Amino acid sequence: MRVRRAFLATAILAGVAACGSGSAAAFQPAGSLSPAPVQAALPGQAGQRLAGFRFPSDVSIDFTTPAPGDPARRAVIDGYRNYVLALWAAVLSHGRYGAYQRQATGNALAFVRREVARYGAQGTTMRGTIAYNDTRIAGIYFGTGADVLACVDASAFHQVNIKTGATVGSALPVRLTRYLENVAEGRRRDGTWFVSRLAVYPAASTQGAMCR
Amino acid sequence: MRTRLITVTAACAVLAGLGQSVPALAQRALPAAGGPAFSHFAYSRVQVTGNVNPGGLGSPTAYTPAPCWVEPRFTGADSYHQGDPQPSATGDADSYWWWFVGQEPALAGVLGRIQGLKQAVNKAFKSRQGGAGWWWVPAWINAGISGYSCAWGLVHRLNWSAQYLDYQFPQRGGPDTAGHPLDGRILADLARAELALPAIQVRTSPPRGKPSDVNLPVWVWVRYAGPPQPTDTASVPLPDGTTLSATVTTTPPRVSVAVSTGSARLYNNCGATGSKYTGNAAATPPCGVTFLAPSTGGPYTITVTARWTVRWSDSTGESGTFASPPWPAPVQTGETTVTVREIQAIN
Repeated sequence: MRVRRAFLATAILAGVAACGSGSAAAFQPAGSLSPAPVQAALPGQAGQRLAGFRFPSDVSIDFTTPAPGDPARRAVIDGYRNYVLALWAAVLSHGRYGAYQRQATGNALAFVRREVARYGAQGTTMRGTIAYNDTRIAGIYFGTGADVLACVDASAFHQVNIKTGATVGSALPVRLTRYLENVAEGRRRDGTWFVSRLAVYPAASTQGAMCR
Repeated sequence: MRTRLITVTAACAVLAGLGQSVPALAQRALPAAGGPAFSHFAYSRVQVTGNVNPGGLGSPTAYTPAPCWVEPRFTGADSYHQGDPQPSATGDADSYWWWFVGQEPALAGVLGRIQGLKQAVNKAFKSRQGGAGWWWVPAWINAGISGYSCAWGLVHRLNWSAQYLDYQFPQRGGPDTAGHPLDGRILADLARAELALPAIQVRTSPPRGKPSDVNLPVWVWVRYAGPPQPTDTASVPLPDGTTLSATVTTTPPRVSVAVSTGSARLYNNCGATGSKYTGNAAATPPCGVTFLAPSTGGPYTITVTARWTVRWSDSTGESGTFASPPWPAPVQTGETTVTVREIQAIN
């Protein structure tokens, strides 16, 4: 049976097509996301910058999974990595680095804002290493939606007092020392991807078991 | 039509942040034949009943096919009503559109801030009032993120980010179109994903904990922790008052025995349940094993496997099977151990 489809509001679509998910300038991480390196784009390394933001030398965001060779899949992974980098850049800059507004929508955006506010209110920042391991694409749907999984190890990522440098606690809630991060991504018309929804599962949970 | 119920309540929960995981599965006690019904689909009226495993869709990686679809919800006669828009999950397509935008603001993007949108959208729905088509709404599996990811891809691929609803002619099957409309095959996939194969408990004679002897047959049989031939059905009410459904059935299980040593003679005429000990110690069991050497390095392991063939058929007459992979093999295994002693000669 053939299906005839009548889309409504076509004119509206055309009118809003240019409206992206945010108005921030294009976000271009400085690090390489080529398929070759096992540890790609370590923004904490000295001299690396993130589109105008320099990560402190005592902060490392490690992506230990090689990026896919296929350009379409690599773009999905890039979208996730860009979100992660923008998230921590926003927290470290206490919200002044605004690339996250382009890299996240929905509850992912709410999470970034909450973390920025939490660190700002407590007069803290973070130090150490957070590692994103076993990053993989669970599915790409209809070319414009994607599902990405990563095992996050925040056991060496700490919240520290800005003035004294003393460790206050873990950078994330204790139950999220190790966890599975699952994000939904959406594809923009320019081919880049951003995070539209976020869920986490502690490694101790059934769903997070793959990250134990 | 204006009072139609929609099973979306728990499914609509938006994850509020990192402190939250996926919403709990919405379970509803339904005294249907064979077991309870589970509904953990977002914006869907699909129900799966029978021998179902509510955790079958609970893993972020559990479901192989695209975990989203569009589902028929309203007839053309319920495109628009006087007084719209009144955002509501029930009523008509126009009301649903406005309600859905409120439920999924991340999908809605900037639309809610566009001047003149209300009039334009209402006009579009009004123009279809009384038409022969159906309004189809996006729906997805509400476990993990994959369903939402899929829905995002679907609505954007079809350029629905401004409208969410698709107007198609009524259909109850046929090949997938670009809109990925719900059909018997998708329902069958959902039923297969939730199908609960019964765990098996291995029984032996001699029983577990008692030693056996070299050259003495060990009889093996199984007990199923549930119906040995499970079945379940996924169904969805259609706007015209009929129902589209797909039922998944299983063949009787085929049981087989394997052991952890090569020094054994296997009997694998096990049928569906193996062979319970008949009381004749000298008889050869149809299902079992005779160990030919003592278990000097520790007990031997007996592994029993039950295999099913799973098929589906839908209410339109379509039918098929499930290839493995990508589907997990319909198999359950159980184990037991046995210590085997050397027979002592008596002169």
